[in-house]
Amino acid sequence: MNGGAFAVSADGIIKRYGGTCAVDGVSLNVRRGGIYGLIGPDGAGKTTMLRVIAGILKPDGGEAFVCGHSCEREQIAVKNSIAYMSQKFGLYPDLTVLENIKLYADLYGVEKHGMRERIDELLDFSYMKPFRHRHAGKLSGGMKQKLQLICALVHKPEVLLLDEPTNGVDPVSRRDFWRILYGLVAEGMTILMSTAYLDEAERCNVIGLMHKGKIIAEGTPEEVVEKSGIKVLSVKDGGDRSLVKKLKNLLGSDRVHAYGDRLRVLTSDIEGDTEKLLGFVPEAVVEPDRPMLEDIFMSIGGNADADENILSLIAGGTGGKTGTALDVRGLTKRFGDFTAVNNISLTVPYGEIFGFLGPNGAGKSTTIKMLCGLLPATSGEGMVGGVDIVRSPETIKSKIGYMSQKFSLYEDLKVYENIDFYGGIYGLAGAELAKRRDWSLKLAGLEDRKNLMTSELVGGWRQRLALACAILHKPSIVFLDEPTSGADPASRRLFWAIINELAGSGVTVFVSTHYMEEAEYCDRLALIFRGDMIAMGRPSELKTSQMQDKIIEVLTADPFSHMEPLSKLDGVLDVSLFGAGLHVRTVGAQEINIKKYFTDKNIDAQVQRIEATMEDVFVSMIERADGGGK
Amino acid sequence: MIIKLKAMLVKELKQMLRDPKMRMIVFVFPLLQLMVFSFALTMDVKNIDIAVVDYDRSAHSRELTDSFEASGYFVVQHRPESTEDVKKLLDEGDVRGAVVFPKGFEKGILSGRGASVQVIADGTMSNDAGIIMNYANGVVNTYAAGKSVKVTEAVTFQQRNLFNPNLLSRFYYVPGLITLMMMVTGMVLTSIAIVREKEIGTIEQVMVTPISRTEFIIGKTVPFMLTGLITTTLMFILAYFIFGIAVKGNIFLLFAVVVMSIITYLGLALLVSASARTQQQALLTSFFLMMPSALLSGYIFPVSNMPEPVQYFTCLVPMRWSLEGIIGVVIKGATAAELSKQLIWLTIHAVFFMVFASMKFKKTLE
Repeated sequence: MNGGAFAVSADGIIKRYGGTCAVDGVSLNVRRGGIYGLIGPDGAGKTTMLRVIAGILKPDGGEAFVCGHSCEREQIAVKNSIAYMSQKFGLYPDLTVLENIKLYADLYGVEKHGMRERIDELLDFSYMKPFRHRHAGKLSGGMKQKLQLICALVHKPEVLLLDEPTNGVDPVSRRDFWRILYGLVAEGMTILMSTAYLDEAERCNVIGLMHKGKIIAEGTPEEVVEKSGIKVLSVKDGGDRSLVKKLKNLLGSDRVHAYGDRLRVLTSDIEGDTEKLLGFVPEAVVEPDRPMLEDIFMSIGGNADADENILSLIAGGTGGKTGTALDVRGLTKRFGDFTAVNNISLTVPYGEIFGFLGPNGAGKSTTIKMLCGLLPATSGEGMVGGVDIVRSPETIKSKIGYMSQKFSLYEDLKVYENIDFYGGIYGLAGAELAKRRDWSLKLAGLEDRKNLMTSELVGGWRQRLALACAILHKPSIVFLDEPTSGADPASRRLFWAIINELAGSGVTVFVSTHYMEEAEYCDRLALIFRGDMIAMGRPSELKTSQMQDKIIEVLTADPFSHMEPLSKLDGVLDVSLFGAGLHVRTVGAQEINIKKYFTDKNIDAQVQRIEATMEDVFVSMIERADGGGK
Repeated sequence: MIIKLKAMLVKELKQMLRDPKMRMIVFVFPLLQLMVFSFALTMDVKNIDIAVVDYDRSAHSRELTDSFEASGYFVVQHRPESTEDVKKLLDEGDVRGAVVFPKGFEKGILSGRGASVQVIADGTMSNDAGIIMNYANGVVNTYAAGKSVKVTEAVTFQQRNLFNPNLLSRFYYVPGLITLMMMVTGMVLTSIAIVREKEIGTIEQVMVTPISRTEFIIGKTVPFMLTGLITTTLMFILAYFIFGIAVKGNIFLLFAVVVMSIITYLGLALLVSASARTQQQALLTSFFLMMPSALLSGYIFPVSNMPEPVQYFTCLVPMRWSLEGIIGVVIKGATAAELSKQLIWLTIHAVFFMVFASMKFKKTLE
């Protein structure tokens, strides 16, 4: 219970793995009761730092302290004051929620006296009480994550270490998870976390931007953005997908990136570049925008080296087909008496990017697996690539490419051996195989690493290699199940550039994602909830004509404390954290009420009605379908 | 077809043989086990610790006691006063048998009426007990013949051991062990072959490719087939150089039996693997299958000693046919015609399990 104002401090941590330095002299201090976010590209050293602080990895240099205890020498004291949630946390799938929690309570030696109350409190707090007798293996992804958090919290730690806790978790569950985190902080807990979601990073009190084992920028999110000196122009155009490529040619590829339905241009000369852009695309709306962490992130490069060479590999790589790629009606899948997918009908032409959105466990993966011929449908009919999915699911397999949610290449094979294996089972041999192997290595950016064991690959590379293996045989329809989950923003953007190119060459791409800004890159989206398709349309349609609620943005200090009172105002459906601010979902335009709330309290706040973001649409539609709201 | 198969084979072999630990398990462990078990597990009973209770205390009783010791089979460890003590010694495991000379032993011999001597054996190990009784019988008979006296209840017996004239058990046990090791390594390694991919998730990616079920199953079988053949060959070479066990019969016939046996075990293991959900399940299932296989094969307990219904049932135990086939070729030098029954049964097993395994393997998830 000492250590001064800092609950966690690290001093010059160094950690080497073989020849590479994963963490190279990192010092950081986390104020008691604060949230510190570690962000950075894949392989920047975030996980290593957290492990050193958790006392499960011995650093090669430097020392870390938790509540004044040395992480190396006083492991017992450290372990009693922390909770560490790794990316692979151990829940026992055959035990119920309650049994899992009790097991962890016993492992931590929590006293029987008061344990029941503590567990009840945690279950209430996380809204998990109704599920306490459910088997952990049968929970949705978001609920598993919450259960892991409860297990980690059962011994009342002072410091919570979280390693990318919300990877692969849908926006609704992510909001819920953050509500819990803020609640914990309000009780005085200190949180040190790493995250791949930059909107989450915006909510941290302090962030540390890591790159190649060093912290290259530190401070509040605003400070980090400000210190970088980056200025941003946002460009909005009718939705020409090739615009990003054209602008990259015009201004240089590292200065332009897509974000949601806009392009963002990093600039040092606002006026000059505005003129240049308008000269190039006169119909576009070009306006200066507040720089975000996303922009900073893109400016440091990261691992992914998006360049024209990679994208040019795709162009003409697959035969440009036209017409209907996929046409299914009444697709239904039941497991026992549980309906995983209920009566879904779709018609998708060649060359379209079709997105599946929905909470964890809504039936997205099941739908994709049925379309691939991996799962037989309980009922329904249709054609995929001109082949009947009921009668000849095996024939479909030579026409499609599929990338599963879980990395499913052989980790005990080398990179090129995986390519050769998949090439072989797609019937490629000799010179043809050699050609495709070179192509795949280039696409994955692994030309110099083809002899590496696949298990040694990190983040973006894995995903690109998996994609390369999935499209080795030049399929005309590609199914990607959460392909970018857990990858850093730069890798994700490169991945989407590849998807764009694929679609441009006539390939139909089905993709599911939990990143709402990625949903904007799709031509059309289907929103799936509890097996039903509750909405379908272009992203712009979903945000305007299909969106019934209004969104009001509130930017203020300590947004969490206003959530409860705001949600009680008339006409307010729901208040949620969004980036560093709040989004208030209302029935009509309620700015006046909200503004009055802040002026009454004499609090400085920026309140304005905005166009709904994809995340607002997602949450709004899910809650309506759930009969929820207020 | 060929390209796909080749891709499968290359992948499987690389995965299996890349890891030095796996190489140990595949090639070295079976050989080591063969060595250890062959030396350790022997049915030749020697140096049996016994107790001698001599109520007679005569020259003749001492003479017969010496004969026991001189035989090389027995070592007199204790000379208790009474038979009461023998029970204690047996219970504590200090001795495995006892010889009791009743009072009047010498008198009986000298008078020509005949004398009796009691031999007690620890019956908990019934096999050993039988052997001990036999040896004792031998010793007593020899002694009696020398004295030309009748020793009561000493049954004269004569035995002629075919094929293994010196009754050296390793001629039977070593080829049997090879059969057992063949089954164990084949089944353990193969039973996780498919389920491992299910558990890690790699199978999903393979399932969306146009590879057929047969190609997949063959691709999973052949690499284990090859390593199984190599290990079995090495074991026979070892058996020849260390134990002097040469193959009496046709070497090609031997390999025909070996190949059919391995295919059978692999088929069975793949069936287990295709049905199981986890590697743990698959391993446990194969252990539960191997136990009765070994026990019912006739390796330890002769099939002919089993009740008749069980004897019929053993026809369904593949190891019975591999064992009979291998012992037949290696020790008896049997011909293909003589082993036709074994070969036919093995072929039935091999075809059945392989077909069943590839039917059980589905290219869809559920």
